[in-house]
Amino acid sequence: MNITLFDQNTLVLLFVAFLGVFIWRYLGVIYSKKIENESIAAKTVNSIAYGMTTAIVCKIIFFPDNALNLIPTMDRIIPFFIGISVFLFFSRNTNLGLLAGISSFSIFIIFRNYLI
Amino acid sequence: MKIAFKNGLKKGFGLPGFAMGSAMIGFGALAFESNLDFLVAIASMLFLWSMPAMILFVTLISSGASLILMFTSIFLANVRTLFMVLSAFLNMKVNSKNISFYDKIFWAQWVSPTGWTLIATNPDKISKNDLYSNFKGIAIGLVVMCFFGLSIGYFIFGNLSKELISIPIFFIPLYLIILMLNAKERIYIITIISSAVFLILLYPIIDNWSILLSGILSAIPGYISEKYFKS
Repeated sequence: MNITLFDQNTLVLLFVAFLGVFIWRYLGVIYSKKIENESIAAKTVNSIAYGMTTAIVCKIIFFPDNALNLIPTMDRIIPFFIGISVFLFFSRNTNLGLLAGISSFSIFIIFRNYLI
Repeated sequence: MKIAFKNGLKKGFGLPGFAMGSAMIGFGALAFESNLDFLVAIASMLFLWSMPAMILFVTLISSGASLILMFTSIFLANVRTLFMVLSAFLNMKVNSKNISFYDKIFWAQWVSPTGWTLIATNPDKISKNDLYSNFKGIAIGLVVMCFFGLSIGYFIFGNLSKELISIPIFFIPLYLIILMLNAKERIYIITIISSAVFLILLYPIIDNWSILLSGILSAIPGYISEKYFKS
């Protein structure tokens, strides 16, 4: 059976799901008024956001649950570190790091799926 | 201000948007396979704008979950949104401007890890006063690109090679980590390294909770170095 938008049950569930995310966004807007921009509290909040985004990034690379899941672990991890290393060792050039990472990842995929 | 907005649009429709749109292909396919109407898939993207929440929503609605289960799982899985919005709004100095509450709430809805990273690292060195306009451009670009990605995934995913789709999906984590490593302040570099270590250690034990825990725990070494070892 198809789940359609015009079903009352779907609308209620969507609204409840929306609330589950929206409450955090609302609190973020409210609390942002109470923290000084350059304070240590602001830096700590930024740090947590940096930490969480890094955790998401590592989760996608090390423990993926999307199409990346089909790619062998080392074929994801090695290009990831190639990209970071090229970025760090070649005057922090973002494009060069991305190019190195993506091209090595593509080479792994093409080699495994189409050449052997 | 208009330049900052246009610059944001370019970013949103550029590589970050392309990569995020590619990630949305997988969600479109999941929605199709779970018998969700296309409009429900689009509405869930627009109303939730958080990949974990969207995946939970599709999974739970197709298995006939109750209201309480739907709310609790999505609420608990999205604590990170609080820190992203808080950090993004502090970086954009939103409260030093005369912006209405409804305007803030509306744009807070479009904060995502990609949008947050572009704002927090500010790779184009946009003036802090123009970052809010810049973010609006980024958000619009990302939403439109995700709409296209979702549509592709919903209607033609079966005809695409999943291995080839993984190439643009791989772009997002690499792009985000490289942007974050551009951070000049030691506190953030220490946080990034600690968080990666915590996640790798914790994920096999506590699954997705490791994202929240790694984020919070990794801020501690950075905080200590900032407070006690600042040179």
